[in-house]
Amino acid sequence: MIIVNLDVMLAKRKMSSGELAERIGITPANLSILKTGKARAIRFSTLESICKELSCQPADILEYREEES
Amino acid sequence: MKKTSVILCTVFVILFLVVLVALLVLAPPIVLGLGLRLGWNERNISGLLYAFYCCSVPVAVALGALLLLLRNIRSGCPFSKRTGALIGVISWCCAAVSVITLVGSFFCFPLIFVSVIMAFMFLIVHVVRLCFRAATELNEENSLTI
Repeated sequence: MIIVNLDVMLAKRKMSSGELAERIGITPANLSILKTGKARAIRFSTLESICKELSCQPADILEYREEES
Repeated sequence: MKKTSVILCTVFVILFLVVLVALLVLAPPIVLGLGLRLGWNERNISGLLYAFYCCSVPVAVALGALLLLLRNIRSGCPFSKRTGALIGVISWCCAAVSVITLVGSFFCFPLIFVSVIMAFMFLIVHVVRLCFRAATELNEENSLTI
C-alpha cells in the first residue's frame, strides 16, 4: 500500500494543512482525504503542486509499504 | 441536468400512480365489459382480473422507486449506490410482473404477450443497472482522486 507522509513534511516546513490546501488549490477536505490515506489516486498536477510548495521530492511524501496479510 | 424534464417525469409518475389507484377500484367493471365484448368466458375474465390485482403490487413498488429515483436526480447525486439499488428494485418488479402474467396466461392467453414484454423490460432495466453500477464506481474513484 502507498502511505502519504504529508504530516511529516508539513511539520518540517512549519505549514498548516489549510495553508497548503489553499496554496495548491484544493479544498481542506480533499487534503484531509489525501493525508488519511483514503484517496484512491493522486493527479500528477496535484503532486507537482505539493512538491513545489513543500520544496520536496515525491519520495518524501509517498512511501510504499507491503500490506500485511 | 434540465429540471423541466425531471419535473415532467415526476408529474407523469404521480399521474400513473393516480391511474393505478383508479384502476384498482374500477378494474372489475372494466374487465367484465371488455371480456363480454370479446366473448371471453368466466375463466378468462377472472384470470385477467387476478393477474391485474397481483401485478398492481410490483407496479406500485416500481412507481414508488421511480419517484425516489427522480428525487435523487433532483438533489444532484444521481450516481450513488442508492440509485443503483432503486433501479434494481424496478428491474425485479418488471420480472415479477412477467412471472405473474405468465401464470395468468394459462387462464387468459393474451397475457403471454405482456409477460414477454415485461421480461424484455427486466433485461433492459437490469443492463441499465449494471451500467449505473459501473458509473457509480467511476464517480467514486473520481471523487477520491485528489
